[in-house]
Amino acid sequence: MEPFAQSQSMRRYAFLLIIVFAFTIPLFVTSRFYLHVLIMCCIWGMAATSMNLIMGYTGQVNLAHGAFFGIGAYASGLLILKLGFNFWFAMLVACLITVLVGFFMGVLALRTKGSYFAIGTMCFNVIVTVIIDSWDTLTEGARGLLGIPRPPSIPLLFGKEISFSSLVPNYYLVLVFLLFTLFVVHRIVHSMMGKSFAAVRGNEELAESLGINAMGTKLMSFLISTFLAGLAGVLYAAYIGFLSPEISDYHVTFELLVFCLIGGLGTLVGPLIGAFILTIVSELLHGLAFPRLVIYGFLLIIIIIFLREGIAGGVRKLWLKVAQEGGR
Amino acid sequence: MSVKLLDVQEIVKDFGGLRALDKVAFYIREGEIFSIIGPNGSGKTTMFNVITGSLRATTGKILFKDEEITNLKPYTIARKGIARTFQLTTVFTLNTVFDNLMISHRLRIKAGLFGTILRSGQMRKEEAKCREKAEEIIRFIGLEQVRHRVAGSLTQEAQKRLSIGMALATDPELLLLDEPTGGVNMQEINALISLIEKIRDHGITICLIEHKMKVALDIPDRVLVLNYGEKIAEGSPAEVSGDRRVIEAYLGESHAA
Repeated sequence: MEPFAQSQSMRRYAFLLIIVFAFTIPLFVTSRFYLHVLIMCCIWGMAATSMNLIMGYTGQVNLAHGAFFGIGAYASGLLILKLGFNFWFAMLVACLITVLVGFFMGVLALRTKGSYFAIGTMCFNVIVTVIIDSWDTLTEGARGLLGIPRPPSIPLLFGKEISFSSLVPNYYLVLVFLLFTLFVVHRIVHSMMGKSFAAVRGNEELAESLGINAMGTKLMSFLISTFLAGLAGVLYAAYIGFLSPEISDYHVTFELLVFCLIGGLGTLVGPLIGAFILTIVSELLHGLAFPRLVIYGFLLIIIIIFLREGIAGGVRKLWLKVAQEGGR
Repeated sequence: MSVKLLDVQEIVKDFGGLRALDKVAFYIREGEIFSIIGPNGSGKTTMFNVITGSLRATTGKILFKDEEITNLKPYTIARKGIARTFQLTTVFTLNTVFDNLMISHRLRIKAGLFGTILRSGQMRKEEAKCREKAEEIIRFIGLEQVRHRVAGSLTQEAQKRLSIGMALATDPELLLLDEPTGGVNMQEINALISLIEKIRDHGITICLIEHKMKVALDIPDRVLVLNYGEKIAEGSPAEVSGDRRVIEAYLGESHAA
């Protein structure tokens, strides 16, 4: 088992290095455009990571994730604009609202399995978008919710403060929350709770015969993932400052799904890799008239044929192969 | 004398118009090996599914340690101390042997959300309990050599051992084994039989479904025979194997004389 432990500690160093690198990026990337792209990568990375918890680790294909992202975003925007909530308080309340909606939806939808669950959740997603679109008096409907302020400055010692008017502090804000999301998912996955998620994914009937409440376990995973999706939505709302019903659309769900599939479902870094690569590619291709979804389509076909477990899964396989041959 | 650990009273199970179990009543004594036998389709596995809550009984009552457990959820019944294995060997094929055993002890520990995220001392203690249990069971079923192997890559016999081990890791008082020796060769059957007897010696009551006469009549203390969902005999292996109706059910009327 030595190579395993060795690769574990090496992996830890690699992660540490990447985190340090992520924190130093603004020192040499000063272009506003690239910083913007990085911020979007972090937000989508968070959303994809949260989707991975219910889909990759618990095996329930939740196609309502975009709705939860949108609910989090709209809830925080409305709380701040209409009720004058402080950003941080609004963030917490918005996430709790997302979880509450998730609870009612989960209790209903999680009774179904497999593709029925996928279709059920997708319908829910469409309903949410329609409600946001048509409830003009609350959400401003198709006109969109304008002028959501950036987070207020955080006061520091000696009269200094962190102000979120420029891009760099915003980058750090989303980075910290991305790391928080990864930390939460990592802790859960490597615990007995994560093992019960895997058990439910592996075989629900067997899990139940071993005393695991499958419904409760799925609901737990589902609620954690909606909480984190809502959190990503809140950050999106505060950063972009404008929301339209499309942000809760099922297209968002499918984009997150593609991030997860291309990066590798059920691996911690997979959805992150997918989100980063595709966000960068799509932002760079903004100038081109070429439809983004066509490129996604091709990429997805290639991945599904040649790399069933996504990029992260492929790299892991390669690594195992190299490690084995090196050991001989 | 010994106490009734499980008391099955007049259980009826209908699938639409088909009566799969017809007022079946029996009891299992504490500490014995009990066996349910019968031809294909006689309702043996249905009986297991009703006991463990994966099928609802149409009518009838099941008592476990004098407490009614009829139609409770499977996970509740598992927590009360009844564990089972499945006819088609079922393990978590993508997980390692050790993880399979660890997760099987999950029901005896607490794993709350905040404790998990904060990795509290309490949580680490609970996890250590699962690890200890898995260590104990892995030695008991003799799979130390393959502890880090993915369960799906094991031989059929090793997977059977693992599935029995997983059921044991739930700390059961009653263990239901659905064809524990199906699909393995003669040598392996003997190894599995000695495992079953070892479990009995540890004070766990066993109820098993069997097809092979050697297993079905050699190791149990008492036997229940089902045919077309009806109980046709109950008693010691010797009594049962001499019973006219049992011979009729297995070999046809001409042999019964």
